[in-house]
Amino acid sequence: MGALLRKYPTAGAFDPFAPGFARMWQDSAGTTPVTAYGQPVGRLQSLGGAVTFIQPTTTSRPTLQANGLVFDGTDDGMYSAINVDLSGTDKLTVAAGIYKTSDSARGMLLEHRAGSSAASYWFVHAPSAAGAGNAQFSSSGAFAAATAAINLGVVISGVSNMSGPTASIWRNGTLIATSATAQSGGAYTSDVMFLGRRNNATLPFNGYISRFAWFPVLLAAADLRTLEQWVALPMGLSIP
Amino acid sequence: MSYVYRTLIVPAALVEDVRALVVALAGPPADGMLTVGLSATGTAPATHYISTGAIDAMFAAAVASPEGMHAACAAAGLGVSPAQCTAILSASHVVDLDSEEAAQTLLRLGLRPITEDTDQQPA
Repeated sequence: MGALLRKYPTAGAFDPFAPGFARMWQDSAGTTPVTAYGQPVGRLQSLGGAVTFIQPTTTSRPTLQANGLVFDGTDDGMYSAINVDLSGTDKLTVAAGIYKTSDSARGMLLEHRAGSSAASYWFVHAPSAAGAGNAQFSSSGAFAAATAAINLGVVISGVSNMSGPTASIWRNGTLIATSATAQSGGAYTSDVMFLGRRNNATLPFNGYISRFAWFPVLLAAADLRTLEQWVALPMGLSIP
Repeated sequence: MSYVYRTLIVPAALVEDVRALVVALAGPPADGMLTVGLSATGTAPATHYISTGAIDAMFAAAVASPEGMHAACAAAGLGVSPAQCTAILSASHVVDLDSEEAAQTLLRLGLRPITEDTDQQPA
């Protein structure tokens, strides 16, 4: 994974299991480090330090638990402190370890250019609708879904090539679905990234988020596998 | 820094005053609280607003009783009367998350979050 991040320095990779709770703080200003499970996380920095998620409101901070960051499905969420610049690329690879604890309402896991009624957005949500029992990757009007039950850890990957056009979803290292729907917008943009809730306001995700990362490229098959194995490791999942 | 974990549910009629109060007491970390609307059907208009999660332990007493709230307000120099504190807490729900998860609290009270879900979806 280290080699991948050196190769793509604009990628964002986040690890709630970093030794010593590194790169996590209880407050959004980054003055009080996370030192134990059970504490709120108000600031979460990527492994390369290029992207930082924050949550200034104390009651809306996810909590760090042994399974990852817990989002309560009510008012928890984070957002990037500055825009995440994906302009200039129409390709994306994203992977996240998730453990849904409820399927009762649509939950936004990770979203760039929130709202998605416009072009050039992408998101991963789980479920895609109340009771859908899935996770879904969407990019600029294309959708690909995979079954994802509650109370079960799963690694979900989304791979998009806007000009392809293709948008694919992978579950635990296996390709599940691909959409060839035309994607509008031409390329992604520079926008705020949201974690756990759309626009820091609605569609709250209910469950745990483990390691997660995005790359502004189509990763080669072997590199995608490396990414998925890195995400899967702390979840006790094996992706050969 | 230590925290307590609480669910706070406030009637819509009081929410503007309570938002102002929590920001006056706790400062910027309270800005953004009580912005998730609730109703019996999960559709607008909101009858209540919720926040659930960590609050600084120094404010635990302020949400535990009218006397504690009034003492916190007095210490902060806020002109909030004991009767106002009683009115706020008697109309609101404050639940220790160690004893009941927010989802259970909402179920018990017959309230559902109002969510906007208007973007495009596959047919």
